[in-house]
Amino acid sequence: MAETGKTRGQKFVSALSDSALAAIIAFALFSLLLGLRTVDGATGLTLEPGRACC
Amino acid sequence: MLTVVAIVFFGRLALNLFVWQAEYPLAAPFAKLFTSEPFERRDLVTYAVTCIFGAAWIVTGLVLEEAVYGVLGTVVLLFVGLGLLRRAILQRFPDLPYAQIFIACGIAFALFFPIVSYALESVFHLGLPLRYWFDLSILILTYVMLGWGLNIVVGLAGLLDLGYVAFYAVGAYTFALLATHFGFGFWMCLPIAGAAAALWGVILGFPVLRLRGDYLAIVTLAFGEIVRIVLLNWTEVTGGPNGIAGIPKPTFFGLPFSPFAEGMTFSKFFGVPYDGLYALIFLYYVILVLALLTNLVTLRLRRLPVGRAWEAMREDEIACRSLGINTTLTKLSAFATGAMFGGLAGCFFATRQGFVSPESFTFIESAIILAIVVLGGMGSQLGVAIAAVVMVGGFEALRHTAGLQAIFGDEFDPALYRMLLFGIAMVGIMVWRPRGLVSSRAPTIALGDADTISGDLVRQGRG
Repeated sequence: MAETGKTRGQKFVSALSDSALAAIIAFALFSLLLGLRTVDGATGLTLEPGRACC
Repeated sequence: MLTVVAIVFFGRLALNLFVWQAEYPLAAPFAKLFTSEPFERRDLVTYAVTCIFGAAWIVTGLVLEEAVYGVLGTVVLLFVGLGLLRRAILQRFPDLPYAQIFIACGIAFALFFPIVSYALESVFHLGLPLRYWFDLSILILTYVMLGWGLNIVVGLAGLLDLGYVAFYAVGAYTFALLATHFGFGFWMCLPIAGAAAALWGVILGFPVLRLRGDYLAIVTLAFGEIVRIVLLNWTEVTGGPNGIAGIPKPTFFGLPFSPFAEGMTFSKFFGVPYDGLYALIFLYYVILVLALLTNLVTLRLRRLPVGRAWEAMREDEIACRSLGINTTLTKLSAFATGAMFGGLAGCFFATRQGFVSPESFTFIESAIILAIVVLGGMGSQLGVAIAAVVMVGGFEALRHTAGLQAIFGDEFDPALYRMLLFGIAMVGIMVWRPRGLVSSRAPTIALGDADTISGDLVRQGRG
């Protein structure tokens, strides 16, 4: 939860910065999966290199 | 990837602006659906707007022929509608014993569901998937029984047992071996399987008498794995990975259901045409009776000295011992009683499947049973039953989510992601309801009025 400001502008800026931080963390966590795709193999779900995009 | 980041960003922004920082949080009116606080005008406006959104989604789904919008709209309307209905009933009849009514309705439903659905199908030919429904109900009731059995050990005695599936396996293999080698029937083997599992409960109980907490969990986990590995490698007796096949089905007081059986059969005796569903309905009632028996015995035991000793030991073992209670016997009786019900459920599992193998008794089974007990609320019989229905039925519901495929593509199979969803559900429950779905407790014995207390005041699973 973001620090609450006094004015409406301060509140909006703090909410925006907090959300941006959360988005960056989500990107960092999920970036490990970039280029991989989940395949339903014989041994369950496995990660495989995805198709080359270019 | 971009979708995930966008959901996190905009989701958190919306939460910050409209819930966490707002003077009038958007979540407040929805929280009031679960309390008795009086409504304000803006609450009613929020409900109206939500209902309009829900109806609009349903109409959009119908126009675009996209199931996902219809599902979303229905969920929203149901949530608000049922919440308002709950508030209205509570306001009109504030003093009704709702828990008892809910339990009575649940038992009545469980008792009449197979007969009524079979009668409806026979008369009106509605095309109901009765076989699937009965199979699923039997599976759910098996987990309810296992949950209630483990609840004795974990919820009442406070002994964290991660190897409960071992007793389930002992019961199943006891019946399978006796039936295939000596030709014993189901009813004769049922008490033997229960006794064998109880014996193994005592055998496990002895070495762990001095253990508690994490150490107890590790040893019981190891016990579960030892039993499974022995079953896997003792090929001469257990058939190893091939398991044991040809386990006989139960009979109706000696009358077999199979049309190929020699002599008098169920259909011939009652003069009705053969229907495979009769055997399933009978199995349903067998497991229902076994589960209700587990519940009844547990409720009665709780009022006996041994049950009160279990709960005293859960609260404080040292104080319990200083009061003169024999904790050795108390622990062993908890393990033996819990294991006995696991063994009975295992015996039923063997006869229902007609085949047992070590694959059916992996650690994940223990984890699921423990999760049912924890999610339901340790020590709460009603909570465990609800959790078993939600978890086992919920897993099955994931097979029928065409709406999700509309979002994630045709290749998306939600059943494959059920362990992920299971984990998310566990985290959600632990965050919002850390004491389980039913988090209040009524004392088993009280001198005056038995006031219901919060689950926070009870120390379960610390043994």
